[in-house]
Amino acid sequence: MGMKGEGGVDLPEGMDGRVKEALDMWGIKSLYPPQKDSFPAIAEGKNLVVCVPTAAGKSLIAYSAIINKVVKKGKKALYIVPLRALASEKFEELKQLNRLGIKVALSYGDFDDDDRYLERFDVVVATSEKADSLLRHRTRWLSDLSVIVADEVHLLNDKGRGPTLEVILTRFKQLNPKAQMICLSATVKNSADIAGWLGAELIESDFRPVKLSEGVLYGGSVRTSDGKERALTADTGDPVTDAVLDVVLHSDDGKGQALVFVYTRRNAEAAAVNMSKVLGSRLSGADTARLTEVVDGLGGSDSRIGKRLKQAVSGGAAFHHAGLSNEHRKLIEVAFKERRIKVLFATPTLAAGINLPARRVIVRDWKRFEQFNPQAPIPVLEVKQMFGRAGRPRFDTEGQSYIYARNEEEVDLLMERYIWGEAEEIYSKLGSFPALRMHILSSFATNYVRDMDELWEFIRSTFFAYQNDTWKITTDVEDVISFLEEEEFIKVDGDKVEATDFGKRVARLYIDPLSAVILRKALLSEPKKLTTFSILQAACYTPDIHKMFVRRKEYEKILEEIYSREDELLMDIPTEKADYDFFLASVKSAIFLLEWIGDGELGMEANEERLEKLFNVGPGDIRSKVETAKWILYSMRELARLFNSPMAKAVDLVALRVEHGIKRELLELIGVKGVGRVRARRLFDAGIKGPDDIRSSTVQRLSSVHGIGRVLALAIKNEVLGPEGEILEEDEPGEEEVGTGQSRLGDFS
Amino acid sequence: MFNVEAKAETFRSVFSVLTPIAGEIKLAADDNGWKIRAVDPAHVAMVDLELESSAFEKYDVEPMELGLNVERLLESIKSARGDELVTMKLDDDNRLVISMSNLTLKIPLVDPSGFSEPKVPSLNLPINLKLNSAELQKGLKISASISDYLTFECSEDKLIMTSSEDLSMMTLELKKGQEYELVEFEKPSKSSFSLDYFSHLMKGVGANRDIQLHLGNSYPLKLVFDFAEEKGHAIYLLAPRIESS
Repeated sequence: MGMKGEGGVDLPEGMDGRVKEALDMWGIKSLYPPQKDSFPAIAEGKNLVVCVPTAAGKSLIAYSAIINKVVKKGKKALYIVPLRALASEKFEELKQLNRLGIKVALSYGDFDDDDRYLERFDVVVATSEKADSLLRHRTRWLSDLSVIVADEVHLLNDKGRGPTLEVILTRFKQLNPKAQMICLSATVKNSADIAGWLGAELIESDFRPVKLSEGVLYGGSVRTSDGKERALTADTGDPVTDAVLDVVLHSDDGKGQALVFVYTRRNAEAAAVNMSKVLGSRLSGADTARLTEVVDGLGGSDSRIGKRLKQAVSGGAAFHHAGLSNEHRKLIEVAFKERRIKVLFATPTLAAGINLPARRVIVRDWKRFEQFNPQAPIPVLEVKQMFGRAGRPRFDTEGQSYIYARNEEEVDLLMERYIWGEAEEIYSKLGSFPALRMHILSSFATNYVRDMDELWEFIRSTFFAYQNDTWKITTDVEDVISFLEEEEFIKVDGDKVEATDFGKRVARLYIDPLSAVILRKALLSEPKKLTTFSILQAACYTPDIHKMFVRRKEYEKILEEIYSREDELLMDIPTEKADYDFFLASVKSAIFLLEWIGDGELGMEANEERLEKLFNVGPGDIRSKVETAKWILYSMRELARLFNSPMAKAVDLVALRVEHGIKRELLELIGVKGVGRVRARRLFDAGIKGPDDIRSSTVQRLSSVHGIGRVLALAIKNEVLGPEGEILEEDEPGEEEVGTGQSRLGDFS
Repeated sequence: MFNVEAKAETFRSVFSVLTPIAGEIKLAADDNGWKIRAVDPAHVAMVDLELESSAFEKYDVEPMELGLNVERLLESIKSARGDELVTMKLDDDNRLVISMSNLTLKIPLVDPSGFSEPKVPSLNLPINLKLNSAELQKGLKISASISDYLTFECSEDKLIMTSSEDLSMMTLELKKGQEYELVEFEKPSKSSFSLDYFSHLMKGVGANRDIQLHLGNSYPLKLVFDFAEEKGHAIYLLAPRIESS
């Protein structure tokens, strides 16, 4: 292989010619070494584990494998990613394959659905949860898969997402042994374990298309891995600020950008605002003008986060964390890619997420709070992931990654651990009780496993079993089985195991079996008074809902809430400390949702600003909390039906209200397209309480409602009138406005 | 850049002229001042208004178009004393910031692209009278209890306002040289108008103001008047009722 005379790529024997077409389409004239090394294995249809640094062209390896198989055999490919944001990013890239006649679909979201429509596509990009849910629904086209790609496969090591990824890969290995599996991973010490587990060829390389210079930042200088020390050009007294100014203001081409990783959101925000004060005054007029456009684009947000973001951006800095609204996050990402924003302060989630490289990466915080160690150092694997974001291909000749030492002693320590050191080994996290409970139930419920032998056979095929002796979890598995049997998820008959209707439904709802036990208990209880709070509290008590941290000063208020609402509780108040804390947290979450749907102290739907103030949550958090609550309430309703609970209707109503964030009185309005919770409230307060009122109101009256312009007023009205009654011109009068005999000005010109 | 300051009563008078026609309007502002043209949704009445920049205490404006909810604006300066200074400017979020002595309000703008450009019909009206708005108001008040429309009938030396329904009837006679001055007279004319519309317009004109009233035969009427210490100029047009025969 190698470059052809005219600058094309030579494909190995057996590889489909369309791969070349795609490479040409992407303008790729030569392959990176790890890509070259991978191609023969792809052509032979072997499984592959690719362990290379970020930006070394991993995705292209996967794409080539997909094109090769999908085009040739008319079969399908599944591309599994850990996060939604990544799914969208991959989808955008893969969509270009449409030109080769390959149809690509994106699938995430609703877990209780088999998405039959996906059958029509050749490539499906999905999050691992969605892939698991598709497996649980025994979606038919899964057996047509000829390529399965797992991106960021080192996340097998992740307590939260690891077990799901592990289970789906194991399942595919059993179901579809002929499908080619391509696993992409960051560099880890024991990559051979992953390859060994999957029977895959291992491609390992430290190749990077853009050179990476790593070092420790201390005082006014940087010590790099080659032993050199370079003084920074800026001197504000704060080394991190200096290192940012150094690359942003004093690089030769004037195009340097920095990405700074800090541990908490608050830190990210504060650092960005502070940086903007230092940086803003040193930017050129043109830069400032380009930033003003970004600030304008951020719009009139009332939230604290929105205000701080605008403040920071006006001075060339920004922050990026999960509390941002989607809209703001995207704007920030684009503005950073366009080099308008010069420095971005991000929480570590960014390193695992979207592709947003910068010339210089600074890891400011390398310690974090963990349960048993409030000063736990961040794993090398994670720091390397952050480091890997340095250097923009095509723009930068070198990427620079620095980790910040706060004192002299730390310099050597950091150098040794993070610059010279190797990334840790990764371990299966499937051996935990909650993970086993969830996945063992789904194995039975979906009939992938029908008895204890088959269960053990499945367990023996997992990464866990590859790394451990299975006897280590024998007791755990037995405990899970008795838990599932006791709670009537499964029926055990000798060796044969069968899921009950309850068990099957729960597996498809994609909730933790323990959540289902709690919901069932709530649904079968007989409270003195059934209220919205009753339902919300029970839903929030399930382990699928992220706990809200209860501060000491909030204790009293929450206890008061509990005692004044004792008649409404569907669950017993637990006595054990851990459970009790969890109970308090569930009450807090319920109060949050009550505020959201207008049943809180305010008596009206709380806006973002109020929620932020009361609960310390950003717009992005509100969205994710509401989404999880919606999913659990949906599950609760489904279970209510299964058990013929008289609460079904009430749960349904609460679910709908939580989905939209409204009081009951707005339900009629919310059905109208273009009317969200805010507009519905304004219309309602203006006396327009439902579709009938919209029908009988003139466009002028509708548009006199604050926040509803003429264009929207017309759209809303037409939506209600339906196609027959459509008003085309916005200035055309409503029929009742002109009495008989009344002329119009237009009649006289 | 949009930053203006004027007495509360100046703003009040401008907005009060507009609100009888439309709740939201498109304002075209430039160095010379403000221009606003609006038509009611039924296209029965129209306002064409200009306000000179000299009507403001401070006027710092680059040419632009703004969509404003004048009803809200009027409401927002309600509490201000007449001679109190009010500033209005745009902030970075494209909101109108209204500040007066100890009160600040921020009001979002309306998308100006949503407004159509009303055409002013060219009318050649044979009659033009000068009078005080109070004279019309008198007839208006009484006729409201009688009917829902009002007829103007103008001959060479008098203007008669009538309103009738069933057996009730009102006639109010205004005499040339006494209640009004004749500016122009081509031929006798008669037109009827919706009382509802007309009384709205008269609210916009205000009490005790010198106006010019143009009339035609079954034709729209035109009211021309100045406001804001003669720095504001307004024209109202109102389409007539045409009696079906």
